[in-house]
Amino acid sequence: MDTNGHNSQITIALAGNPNAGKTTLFNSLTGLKQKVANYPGVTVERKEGPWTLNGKTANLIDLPGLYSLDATSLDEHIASDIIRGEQAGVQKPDAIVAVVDATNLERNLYLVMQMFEFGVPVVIALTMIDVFEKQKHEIDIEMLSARLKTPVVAVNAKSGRGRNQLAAKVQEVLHTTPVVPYEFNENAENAGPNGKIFSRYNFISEVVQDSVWHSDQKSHRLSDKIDRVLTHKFFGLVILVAILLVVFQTIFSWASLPMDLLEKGFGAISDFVRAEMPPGILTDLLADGIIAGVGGVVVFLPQILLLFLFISLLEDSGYMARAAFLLDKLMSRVGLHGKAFLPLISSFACAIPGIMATRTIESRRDRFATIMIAPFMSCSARLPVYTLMIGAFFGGQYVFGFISMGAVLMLAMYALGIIVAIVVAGILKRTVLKAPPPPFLMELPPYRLPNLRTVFQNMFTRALLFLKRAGTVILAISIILWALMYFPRSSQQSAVSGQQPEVSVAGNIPSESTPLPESEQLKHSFAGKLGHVIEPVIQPLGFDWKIGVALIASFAAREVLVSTLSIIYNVGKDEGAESQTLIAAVRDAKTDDGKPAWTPLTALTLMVFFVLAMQCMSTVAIVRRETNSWSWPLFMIGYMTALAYLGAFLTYQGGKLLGFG
Amino acid sequence: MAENTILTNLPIGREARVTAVKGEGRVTRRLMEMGVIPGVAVQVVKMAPFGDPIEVRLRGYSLAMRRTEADAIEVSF
Amino acid sequence: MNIQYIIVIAIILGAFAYAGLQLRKRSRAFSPKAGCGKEDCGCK
Repeated sequence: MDTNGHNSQITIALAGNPNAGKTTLFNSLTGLKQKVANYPGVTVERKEGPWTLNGKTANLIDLPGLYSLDATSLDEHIASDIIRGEQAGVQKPDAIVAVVDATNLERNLYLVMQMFEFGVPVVIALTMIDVFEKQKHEIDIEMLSARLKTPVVAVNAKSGRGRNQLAAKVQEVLHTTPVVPYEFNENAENAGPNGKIFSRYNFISEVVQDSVWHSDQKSHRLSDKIDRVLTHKFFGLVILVAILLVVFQTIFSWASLPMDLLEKGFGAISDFVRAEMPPGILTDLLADGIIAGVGGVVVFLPQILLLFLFISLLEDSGYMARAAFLLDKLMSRVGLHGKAFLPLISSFACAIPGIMATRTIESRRDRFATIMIAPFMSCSARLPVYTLMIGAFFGGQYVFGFISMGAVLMLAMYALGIIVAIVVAGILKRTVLKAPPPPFLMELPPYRLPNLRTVFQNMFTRALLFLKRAGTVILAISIILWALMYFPRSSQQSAVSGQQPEVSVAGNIPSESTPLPESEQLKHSFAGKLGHVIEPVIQPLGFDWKIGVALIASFAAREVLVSTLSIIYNVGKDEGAESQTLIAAVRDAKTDDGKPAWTPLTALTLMVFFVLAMQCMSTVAIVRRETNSWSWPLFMIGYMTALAYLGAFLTYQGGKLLGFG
Repeated sequence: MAENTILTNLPIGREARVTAVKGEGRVTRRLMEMGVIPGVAVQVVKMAPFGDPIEVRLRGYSLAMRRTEADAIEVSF
Repeated sequence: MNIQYIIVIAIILGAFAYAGLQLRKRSRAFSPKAGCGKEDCGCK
């Protein structure tokens, strides 16, 4: 029954500790037919999916991973509200499937104890049995089940083995009332507010003692050995940097061939369109606007894929937790929460889920501080920009003979973002968001081999989203930009300058009927005029007006910089010129007075700008949601834009002073 | 002869039992919910660069905490 | 004004309309109102 008294679908909640295999189990039970949304009033993620229970379909809700239902953070509040049936819009669960990690039995069972107290029937899904047995322990599942007075089913979260049995047991417990298998000993020593905690754990210890054999202290042997190296006092940090360098280097080298192919492909398509279609405005739109704009971004697909591959591998293997462990001292110096680490790392892919992930941070001020600095973690949309700049001006150079300059510069840009973030966090925490230093309590899960199927599924999903974005938002923006660069068409000049319209010759690319060469047209278009207006502002940064247009456009979406440059350099191309790769076009680009529009210094300046600027409306939107006011997002836009300008200014002028002009 | 000390000063690798968890408030409560209660066996596995945070083994899993948290945990070995 | 021109204008207007719709959607993004969900992430 839901709150309206209607008899609806059976609702099952899936609960458990983080790292227990809950999400993997959820995926294998719902077959990826999940629906992801938000709970009303908050931005906690709501994940549901259909689970077939012997013919009937139940609604399976994946609760956020928690350690306790005595809620301290936002997602724990939501989870406990849901189980109590007090969450608006969610039916009270008819049963809970408690995911319990066999290798971590005692702590996982703590949550289960609390579930019993809520009066909802529970079935325990015991995961990681195979790992547990490999470590030479044994569980007597029947004994465990008898002592806990609740069904226990061993499942393999990945393969889904055991799920039929799980479904059967869930059906059995529906409409029953669970029995709390222990009593609170009111007279025990150390009773009081924490008495319940002790009672629960004491009971758990007994149960585990009765049902588990050879409980071995050396259960994490292999992980410990690895950790001795990876989290070494000194070498740990060195290794972290080295790993990052390798990741960037690999992304560069593996991606370059597919990217070349894609670029040549789009160039060929563009040439084909020009050759086969009758000359005219539609052809121009297709070749110079759509293909150049969308193609310009799509060529970076290989890069994006590789970036996500590595992020997934690092996360899944458990290395991320170690990195948090290593960097925590640094982070706490600026008052950042250890739990801020994961949201910040997610922000390297996209700040949106990263900012959403800050809901695990209990203190409001710590959370806001993390939200404010998340956009400095260079997101995947900046990658095409960095790659273009590095590819055009820093390719083929090597540091120390074997580390590519490109990888070093990439790392430098990411590092710049991190350093600025730390500084800003430090300032914020000392002034506006002052709060007591946050505690740090984080589980270090044992290393495990990343689940390749999950990793590739993740990559595939990301690729689709990337292409979807290219085909919609970027396409629309490209069309608009092209229009702004194409119109108004100037024809008066022909009369003044006396230029003759070229006559079309069979076999050649027919000329337009416009009298001015395209490069001149561009200057007099809407976009051109706008570019010239802002040129004085950006000149101290070494940018010309065309770059200015691209810069403005990129505030809609960062990748659009690449699209815009692609369109500008295409649209401004004169007749007979073949389509070039964007890198070549960038190198060849000239300012109005014929000087090169781009130098290595300008490229570097642009990258610095992109590290620091707020150019994502979706981020602004979610910051508005998470902070529930307009002042924070506006503040963010303001100080980041100022910082970006200042940073670019210092880079360019500083570089010129040092002779790099 | 049992020696008493705080978790921060427990030599790396030495097994001990928690005797008391001092403090009130959210962090202490969270510590206990993660299983750090009087009577549980603990062991310090390592320390991060700069000595903070430390990695503690208990109940079959690894927990990282700062020295400030570890200072409040009394152990005996 | 040939057919090409008309098609192009139509496409351009369509792009503007789409952009406008997106802006409106973004300003309502992540809101607790019905219909707004995690799909509103414009970044991924």
